[in-house]
Amino acid sequence: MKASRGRPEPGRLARPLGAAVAAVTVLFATACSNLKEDMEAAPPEAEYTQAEAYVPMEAAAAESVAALEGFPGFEKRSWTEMPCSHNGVDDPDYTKIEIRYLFALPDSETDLVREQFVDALRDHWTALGYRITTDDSVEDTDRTDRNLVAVRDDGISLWYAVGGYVGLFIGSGCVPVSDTSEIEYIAPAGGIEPGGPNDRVSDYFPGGIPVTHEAVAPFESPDHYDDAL
Amino acid sequence: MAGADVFAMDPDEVRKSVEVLFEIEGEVRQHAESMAAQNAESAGPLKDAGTALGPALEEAGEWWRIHRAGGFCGLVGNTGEYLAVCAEEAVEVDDYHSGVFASIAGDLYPDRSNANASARPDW
Amino acid sequence: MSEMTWQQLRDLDCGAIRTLGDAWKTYVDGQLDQTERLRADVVDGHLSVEHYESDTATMVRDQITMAADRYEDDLSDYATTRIATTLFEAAEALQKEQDELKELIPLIEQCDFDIEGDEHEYDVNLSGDLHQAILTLSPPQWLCDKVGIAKPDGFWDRDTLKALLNGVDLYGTAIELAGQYQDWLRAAMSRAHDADDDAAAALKEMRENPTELPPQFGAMYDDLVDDYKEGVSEEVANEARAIAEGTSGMSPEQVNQWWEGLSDAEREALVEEHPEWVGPVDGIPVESRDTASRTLLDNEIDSLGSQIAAKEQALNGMDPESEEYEQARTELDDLKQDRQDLTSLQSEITEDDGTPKTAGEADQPYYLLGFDTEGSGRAIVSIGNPDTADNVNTYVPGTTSSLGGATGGLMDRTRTMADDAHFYDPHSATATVLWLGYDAPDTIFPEAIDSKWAEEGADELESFTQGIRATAEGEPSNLTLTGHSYGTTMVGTAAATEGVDADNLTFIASPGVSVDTASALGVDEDNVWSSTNDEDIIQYGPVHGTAPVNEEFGGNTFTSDSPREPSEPWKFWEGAGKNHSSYWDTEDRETGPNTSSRSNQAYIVTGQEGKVQ
Repeated sequence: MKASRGRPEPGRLARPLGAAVAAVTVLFATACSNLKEDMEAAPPEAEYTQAEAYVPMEAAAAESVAALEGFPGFEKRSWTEMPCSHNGVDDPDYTKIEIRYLFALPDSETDLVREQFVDALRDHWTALGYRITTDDSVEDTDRTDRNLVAVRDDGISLWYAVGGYVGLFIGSGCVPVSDTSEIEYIAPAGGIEPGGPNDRVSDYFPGGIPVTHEAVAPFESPDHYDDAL
Repeated sequence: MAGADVFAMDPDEVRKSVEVLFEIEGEVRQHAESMAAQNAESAGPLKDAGTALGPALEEAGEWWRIHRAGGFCGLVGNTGEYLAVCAEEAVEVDDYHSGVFASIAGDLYPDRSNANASARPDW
Repeated sequence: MSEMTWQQLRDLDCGAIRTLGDAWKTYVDGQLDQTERLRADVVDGHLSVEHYESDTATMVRDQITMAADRYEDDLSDYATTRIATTLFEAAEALQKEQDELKELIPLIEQCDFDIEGDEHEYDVNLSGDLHQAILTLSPPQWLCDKVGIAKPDGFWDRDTLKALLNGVDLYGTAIELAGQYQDWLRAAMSRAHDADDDAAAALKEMRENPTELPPQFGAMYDDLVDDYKEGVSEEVANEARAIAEGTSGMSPEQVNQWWEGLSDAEREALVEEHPEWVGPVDGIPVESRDTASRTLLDNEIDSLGSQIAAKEQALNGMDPESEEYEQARTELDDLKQDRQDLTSLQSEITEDDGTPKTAGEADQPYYLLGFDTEGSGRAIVSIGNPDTADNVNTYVPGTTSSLGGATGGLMDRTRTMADDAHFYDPHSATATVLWLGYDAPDTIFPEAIDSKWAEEGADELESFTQGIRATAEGEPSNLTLTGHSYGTTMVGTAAATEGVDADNLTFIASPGVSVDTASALGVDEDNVWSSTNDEDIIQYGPVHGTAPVNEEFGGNTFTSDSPREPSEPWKFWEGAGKNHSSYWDTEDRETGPNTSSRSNQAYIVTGQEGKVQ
């Protein structure tokens, strides 16, 4: 007797898709209430709006490099954004700022920058009471990459990323979007020339980067940047 | 300076051109036939295997042989025949047809008169 | 239409197809000797002006030259680009699927499954013997291994057997495996049929609208030859139009051969006078497509401006209370939205002086490869040039993606991917393409549950990947397709049904990729990657097949946490939703950025799989 495959088993969704949709629709009746709740869930309250976040983020960057002995200076700064998505859909009312500071490639290849600074920041951020949420490394034949992430109570994250380059990425988490006009310029940390070719923030200042703006962050730049410029 | 009233011809050279044209015509036709045959042979198993490619390939090979290689051969043969006539007697192109070739130059190329009759559009 | 059965595909002599392609190429080379002879020995030789000078002589030389030109074009366009290339492409594609069958069929046979049904939709079912074996509690070794029990030795009593098999789902396990093999078999057959049909179409379309031959000498020759020459001057345009309209049947590789066969002047003329036949065409080099697409974009914005003005004028003459007015108002709003979207796109990729903007830390120019305002809109924009890059990452976005979004979150994500690739591999060039080349679903319910958006876009994505290969300069790039949410369903559907010519597939936050096994995707399983804990988890999934992060799917994962399993296999809403607390699951103030997802994606894109954790 040749057995037929019979009715679709509950163990797997049946093909063709038509039958699957029928089955799924029945199951959705139960799922819907769970899902509806989730889809109606509100985004969490953010500590900062987008415009408000840049000051504490830039301060965090400057403060971190102040703790690094032998800091050779950064080469580039960029202000970038990433979308916030929920259920696979980007929410246009929120954004995730990432302020990216990159070392120059030769500096990125030194043990000082790739290893010693990781250790120094781990100690420094821990001492400041930040939570270390990522602390890993991956060794390959050509190099060892590392990630060290600290998160603050106000939601700002600091990611010291050791890859081909080495960089310090400051993240805001998901914050409500601000109009570009509300965003104020802050001079970069790490010895980067404000408004120069390596200060990649011009998308936010369509009229030009206001280098003489008085809202330059009031943190100190160590003197030893001079030889890095 | 070449002009309407310039006329110069070396009939022997023109006849050599005709020979070359007929040779090329024959060779191209022969190569096309053998390529189409090889193509059809390869298309056979593809047809048997239920592919869409098989029948399309066979038709493509025939189309190439008849219309493209064949078209080229027709042009070359027709040009050769017209030239063969011009080497003997001036005939305006508008007045030319394959009957003209047969009557004026047919005897010089006996294997053409009948062999290629079917290829001539106006017979 | 292809009617190959799996047995016929398995037994097909693909080498013979390739050999025939070689034969055509050799034939073409030999024929070029003939046309060379025609020119050298006749036109420049025995029939040269020193031997024969008159109006007639000139005409005859011209005629021979035209015949030689035409035959050489035919040898190139028809015998080589159409016939030989079709044979090579078909041989390669069919061989690939034949290799899949050679791996799969023995597995099916070993499990005592049966293949039944029509070659366009095979079923893989448990055989009668297998049913019997399970019913009588004497399952085969492979099934015992799969459920993790020892094989009953036939002497055990019923109680022992029941205890052994308690909590073990023999049927469920066998059916699940049969289902995976079914997906795999159907996918291989679908791709083989698709390649077969494409090959047949390329040959058939060749004969549909061929170019004219020169007229022979005879009555009315003068008029006929003038007509012929005019036709020749329009040939390139006719070919370009057919290619752009999709009626030529040519693959992107064939289109590229055609393009490369044109003169510089012909190519420039097309870009300038008919950008609509150049911009969106896969197989034409990226730089030319970008120039043409930018022109098209400018023209479209201008055209919308005129349409808006006309519509506003029309509105002035209408009764504001009328239905006609409402209708026109809606149309006006749509036009304005389109213009706004296109203007945003233009300023995203263009400097004030009209030159292309550059993006990211590697300062790569933007290249525009396509756009459309219809439906949710389409935009295909590359950061960096895929034709010259070492790596190409194609990002396929998901639900609610639209032309408007192409200058918002979608482009932000694209730029981040581009920056990450450069960060993790400073020494190679990576091009990152935002590929919104399909009409993405507008809503989660009901649209993203439907597979049709993915099915309708599959041809386009297949063509895009073939185009990348066709126009690459030098070595082929390391090509990755990165799908996000419904974008993964798009990538998976294209890979399974039509085939994508990619090295790696990466699925982020996937509600399912249309098949239940990585084996069905036509890409080496080692190069299929999935992650859920990237930005968020799809709460409603998986609805398009087994979630690729699940172990049964195969492939690799780079989730930092283990995937969340539902309490019952069919209670999929539980899987993702358990213990879910925050709005954006992991990318939040508790855990900070998902560094491993960012770095792992970049490692895959730049060919550093050794570093993926």
